[in-house]
Amino acid sequence: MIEINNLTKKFGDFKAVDNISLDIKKGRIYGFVGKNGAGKSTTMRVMMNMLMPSSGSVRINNLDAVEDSKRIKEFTSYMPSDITYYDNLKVSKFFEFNLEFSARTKDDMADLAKYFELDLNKKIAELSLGNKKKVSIIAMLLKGGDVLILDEPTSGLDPLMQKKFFDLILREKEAGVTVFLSSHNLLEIERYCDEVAIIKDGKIVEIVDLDKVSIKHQQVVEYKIKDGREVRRDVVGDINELVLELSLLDLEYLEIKNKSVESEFIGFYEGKGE
Amino acid sequence: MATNVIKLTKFQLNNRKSYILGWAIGVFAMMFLYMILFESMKDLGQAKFDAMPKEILEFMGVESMAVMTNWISYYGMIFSLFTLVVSFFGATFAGSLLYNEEKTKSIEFLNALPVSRLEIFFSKILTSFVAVVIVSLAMDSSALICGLLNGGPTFVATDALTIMKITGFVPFFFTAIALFVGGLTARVATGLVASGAVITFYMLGYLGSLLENDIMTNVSPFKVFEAANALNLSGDVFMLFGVFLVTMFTIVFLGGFVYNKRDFNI
Repeated sequence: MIEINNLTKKFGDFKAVDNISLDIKKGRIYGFVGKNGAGKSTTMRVMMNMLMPSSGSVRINNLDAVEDSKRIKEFTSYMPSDITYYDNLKVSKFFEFNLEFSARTKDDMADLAKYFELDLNKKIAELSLGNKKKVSIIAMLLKGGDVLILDEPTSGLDPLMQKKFFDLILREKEAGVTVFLSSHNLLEIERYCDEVAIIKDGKIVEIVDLDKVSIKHQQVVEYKIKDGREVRRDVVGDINELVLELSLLDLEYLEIKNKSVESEFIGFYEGKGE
Repeated sequence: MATNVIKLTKFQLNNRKSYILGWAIGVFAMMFLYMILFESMKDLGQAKFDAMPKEILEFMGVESMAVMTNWISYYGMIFSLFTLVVSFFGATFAGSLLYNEEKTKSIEFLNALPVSRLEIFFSKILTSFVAVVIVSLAMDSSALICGLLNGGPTFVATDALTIMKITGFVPFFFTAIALFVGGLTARVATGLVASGAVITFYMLGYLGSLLENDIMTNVSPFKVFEAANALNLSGDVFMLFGVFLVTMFTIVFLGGFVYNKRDFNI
């Protein structure tokens, strides 16, 4: 559904995105994680034709992100990470403008506002950050489409609203919608995504298929030997052999934890991905 | 395409209606204040004229005290000053329309709608020009009301309308400059650059008159389309009108072309 081929985006000499390739299948939720400034938002902005690729290409449903951007936007909904709308507008007026480009109705708008507990009669300027985020979510859902590109959709939302949001996203997925989302919340990535790409300094350092190989059946063992050596090992399958091996060592500490996207992420950012 | 442009234009006008209305009311009131004083200006004018340096009066567009006794001449002088004001409005309005959208990142929302970049740019052109038309109409209607109230035999409606049409072109030219700059880049404060252009062209016209330099006066729309020229349209003015019109369309087209291809500054 989404193919990113050798995409590079430069700002002057700086490579914000460096030759990345991703293949996102229809009907999957694809996570995109990385530190601030790693290149997540830049990639999404290239996908939405807000930035021009320096080289490489993005194709969504076989359409080129630059040449066919208007057609792509007809079936793609995008939610930016920054919530900057038109402050002097009432929330309802803002949504009504969105509805002019959508097949959804005012009833859908009222239902979503009720679901997310958002007051339609307030001006956008009067809303808290969390409520502004809800405006962004509802605008994105009102537009709808076969592809959702979401840049940090849940940051600023309380845990209850985060869950409500993902309940809707899962429902969209069941309907065959493809979701590409970035997040700093690695737990939600692990819980809701089928696949995740880790980006570091503009490069993809790891792609984990959370569907095929359950990362939860893997463990990370970290220990420090009294001679000062620190070791981190990934273990797949039976851990008994390793425990036996470790029993022969003079350990200062030992930690065995389930492997998670978080441990993968931290692993790459602490040097594994170098 | 047209449907999307109209939807976007309506949205942007609606968003800025208080600002446009504020300017329209302000300009209406100021013009009314100036034009309603026409009668008293007849008497006051001569004393002021004698007391002030010729250069200052020329800077304000006053070359002879005769203007103070004729409604149309007086209006032409006042209209020149208001053309400068409305030009500033057009330049800053169009500039901010493009620049602020990227500075505040609300372009991320607008661009995510199923519209093309060109449709967004065309909507900015339309929104800016409609805003300038609204403010100009407020200014013109104010003058016409005053003309009917106190113009007497020197108020000639057709002449006033001619000035409004010809001299009233100037703010659109500077609106086009702002659209051009905003189309090229959002890295500089577009309104500020376009306002700089307004001042530069105004000063060129003023210096051109002072130094009797045709090149300088001919590049300044303030001089080319001043009220006196509007009322006595010569072949030269017609030709220059064509040049300015072509320049205006060319720079707006160029701005749109670059806007369609460049990165948004977000």
